[in-house]
Amino acid sequence: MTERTSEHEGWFDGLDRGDTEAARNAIESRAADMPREWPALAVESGFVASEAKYYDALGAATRGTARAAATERERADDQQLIHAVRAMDDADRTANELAERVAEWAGSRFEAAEPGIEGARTVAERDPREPADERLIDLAARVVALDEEAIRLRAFVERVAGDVAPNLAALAGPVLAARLIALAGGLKPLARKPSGTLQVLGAEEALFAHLRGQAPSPKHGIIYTHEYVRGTSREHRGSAARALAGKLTIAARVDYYSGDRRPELDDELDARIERIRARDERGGGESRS
Amino acid sequence: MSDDNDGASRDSPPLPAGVTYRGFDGESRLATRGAPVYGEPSSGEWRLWDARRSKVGAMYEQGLDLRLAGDEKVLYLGAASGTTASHVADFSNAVYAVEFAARPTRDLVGVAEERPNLFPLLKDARQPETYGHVVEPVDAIVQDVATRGQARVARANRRFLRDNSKACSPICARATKSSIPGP
Ligand SMILES: C[S@@+](CC[C@H](N)C(=O)[O-])C[C@H]1O[C@@H](n2cnc3c(N)ncnc32)[C@H](O)[C@@H]1O
Repeated sequence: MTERTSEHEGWFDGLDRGDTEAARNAIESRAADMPREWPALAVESGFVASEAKYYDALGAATRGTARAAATERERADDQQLIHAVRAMDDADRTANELAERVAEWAGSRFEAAEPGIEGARTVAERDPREPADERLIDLAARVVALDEEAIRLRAFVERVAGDVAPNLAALAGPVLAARLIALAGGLKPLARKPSGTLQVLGAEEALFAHLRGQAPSPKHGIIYTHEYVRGTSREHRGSAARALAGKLTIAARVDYYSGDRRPELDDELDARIERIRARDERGGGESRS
Repeated sequence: MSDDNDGASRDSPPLPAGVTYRGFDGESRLATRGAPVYGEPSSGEWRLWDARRSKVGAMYEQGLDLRLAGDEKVLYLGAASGTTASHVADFSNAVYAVEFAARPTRDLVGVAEERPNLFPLLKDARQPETYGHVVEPVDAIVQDVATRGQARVARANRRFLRDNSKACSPICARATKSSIPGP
């Protein structure tokens, strides 16, 4: 509902006092080339009884609008982050798949072909002798370029994740934060999930198998990639995953609902994990395999 | 307000009414009257105006005359999270604070919650027509956008000056005639 009204109207013209949504809409979408004596005009038009009242109304309207618009704009970036992290994964996966193809092909033509992106890089630097070399070397050069694009995408994700979700990015690391947001479909849906759901995000297949009665319940989804889960002994990994998921849930909620950075969340998580890991040192407990 | 005369003893141009030197830990430092914003120390109603964190504060400490008498209407371009804008609001009649980045604007709104005369606007200073319907003619413009195209921003916003003749570079400007009716 954008309105472009007459150049001579102030933000308050035609508004009901207290209609915050209409005030926001007017502040955001009206325009005027020149300023006018708005306080006096607002009194004249009957919008307010006095200039003092005008400034009260202006304060409420500008603060409400700036707060809502700033929050909305930050949140909108979560969709860009999702595209970028998915593109990053696609570029990574495709580069590696094509690198395999290059290695296999190169093995049939040159001796000692290395596998992977590094192998493709070596192939890309060769001089072609035959038409088949040309195609192979060209393909290898694409693999290298695609890998470089994946690196640039990662740098972008690392930067934007901190803007979109500063606390989540600090606790999870920016890439895992971006993946969690992508798996949930956005920061808002992530912030609304209970911590048990966040804990198994990315493990949907295992979860469905469990629900069908074919498998034990998964203890962790993508948060497994976090050092605090992976680096905790098998026995205590479930507790670590639960603790991490709990803090990440809080972080996502703070990011969505307030956006302030709360460094104390980092400390709390560190302390929790330290306590969990200390159980190992206290005589190891009853070790299961 | 007689406190402001402390500043005059330093042999520099007069500070705006509402800005003065006060003792903080035995040292005489610039201060304004208002609720603390960024962890700066306060003494009674006065809070330290930390010149290391505010260019305008530093300019006053260096004795520059920004030709502000106090109680002006001010347009502040590039308010960021409101560190300086909060001090300017402490001694001004009204401050329209324009900032185009979302994250600092959220802090700026927090600062404005405690200052009924500080009006945050999430707008691009290169597009003054997008806030011309909100901002009234002002007595002074403070510009601290710190990006390319500063001259363009200054030119585009000149229209807000009550006396439409003063450019506002690099940081501050004041309309020459003070034709402001007192509040
Ligand atoms: C150096 S900081 C201002 C610091 C602030 N004046 C203080 O002392 O507390 C510059 C600010 O200008 C903002 N900015 C840059 N270009 C802008 C534009 N075209 N419109 C509005 N704000 C802009 C930036 O987002 C940044 O927050």
